Amino acid sequence: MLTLEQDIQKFITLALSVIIEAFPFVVLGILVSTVVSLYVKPEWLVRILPKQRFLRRLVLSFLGVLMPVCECGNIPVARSLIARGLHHGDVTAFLLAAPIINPITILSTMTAFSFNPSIVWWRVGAGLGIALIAAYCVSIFTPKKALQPALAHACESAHAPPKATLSRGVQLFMSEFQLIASLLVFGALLVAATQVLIPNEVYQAVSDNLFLSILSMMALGFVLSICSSVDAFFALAYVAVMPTASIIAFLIVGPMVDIKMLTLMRTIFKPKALALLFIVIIVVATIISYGASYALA
Amino acid sequence: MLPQSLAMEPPMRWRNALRQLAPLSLALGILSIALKNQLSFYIHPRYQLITTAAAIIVIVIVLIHTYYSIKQKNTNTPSKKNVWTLLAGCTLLFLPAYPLLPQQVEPSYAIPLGDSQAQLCDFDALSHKPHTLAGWKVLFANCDTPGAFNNREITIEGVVAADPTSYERFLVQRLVISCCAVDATLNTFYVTHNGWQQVAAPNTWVRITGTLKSIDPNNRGYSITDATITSIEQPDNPYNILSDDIPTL
Repeated sequence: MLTLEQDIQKFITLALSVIIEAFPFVVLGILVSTVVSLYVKPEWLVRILPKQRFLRRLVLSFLGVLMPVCECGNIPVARSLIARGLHHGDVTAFLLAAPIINPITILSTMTAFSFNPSIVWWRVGAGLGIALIAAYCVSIFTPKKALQPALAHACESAHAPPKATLSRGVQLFMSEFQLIASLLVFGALLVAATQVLIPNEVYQAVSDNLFLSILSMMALGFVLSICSSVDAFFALAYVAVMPTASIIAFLIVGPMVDIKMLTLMRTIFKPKALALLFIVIIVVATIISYGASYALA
Repeated sequence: MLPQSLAMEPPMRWRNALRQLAPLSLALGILSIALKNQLSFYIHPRYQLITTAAAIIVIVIVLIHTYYSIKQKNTNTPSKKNVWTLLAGCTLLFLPAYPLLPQQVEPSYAIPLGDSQAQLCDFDALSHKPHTLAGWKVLFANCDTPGAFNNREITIEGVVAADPTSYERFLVQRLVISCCAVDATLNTFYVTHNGWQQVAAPNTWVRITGTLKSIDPNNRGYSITDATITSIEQPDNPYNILSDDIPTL
């Protein structure tokens, strides 16, 4: 039993570990988003991306290959893409797929699960499928209903980027950094509080029941908020005690929705759209994990 | 006519500039932890360089932005809510840094597994032999033959804890991380040593050199016997990194 002092110390160490781990990726993401905001013209995106909606989302789902950063680094990029006029459904496909379909995540998953390569394919396939389904679902909302007011306005009135000057670039970076970093801190405090209050044993107490084990591993991924590029090594430690389907559920859901990501995604989506995304991801991930349990049996 | 840089109320400019202190403090806090070589208390070593670089980039940008704010070239005003949340994070960064300790992590049922299901019982055939507590645990989990590592010499470092089930035995514990302290799991080794209380105090760091002996001939558990116990300082990296010490054939 920990003393209050030890609990507080644990809380501080955990909160700082989330902040410090995500910090470089957030900075990198904001740098990329600043470049996008300064130099990318909306008409370029329209010209480059496929006209057909499904194909366009498929292409955007693979954008993570070019930007292999932790999922939290994708938030500022997604915001800048919306502000450049991309539809929020298209950006959702990028936001959810990029953390899974990127070389670092795939490589680390292959290394961790070299004894069972099918897990890598299940992860990539499910990540892509869920991203496309969630993109379709969130598209039922108009930009005004789905997006935070400032972003919805920017999306509707997407215009040519302002003249790129150092002053303008610094201003864009700072306004994005203040928003994203403050939410990162808030999310980290939530992650740490949840970890201190809910012991890990709770998640492992249901390993005998497939459905509950899938839910509990998804809950573990949600609470831990580990970077997608290394979560496979963490999941490795649970292979011996949890069903493979629940491991797959952890690997799919963790990078898409966790406490840290949900906090940051609030800078893009209104609560209703965010709730829909959350439900779609959990439901589809559960179904896919069930499918995996039969396919891998 | 006033130049443009003086067109706005001076207090407003200074207030905007002061509010840049929050992001500046956040980056300075991370940089100070890096300079004190304490980033390993929180994250995997592979992230330490880019974290330090990111902190320096933010500091430079904040300074330029503050200059522009005072010169009135930028007009965005950070919200109070964002500033206060950032300051909360900064406060934590400037408190004394402590790594997560084994007693702060609940024992896990999870067993670390290696990167193959091959039977890794032939110690001499291993191309990568374990050298950390985590690496040895991976090896044990990947060999089904009880007692396969009996009489092997072993050296590990960890934190001492009393074994509630035996007076003659104590535990050496070390946390293992994949990414950062958030995903830490606890690894434990038994050490059998009469009168260990005289040479190893609970919650202190020790290096143990000894010989492996099966605890029970029917399972894969081991205890270290004939142990030499040396008190050591907390290592620079208090955690084992699982991916760095996976035994392979």
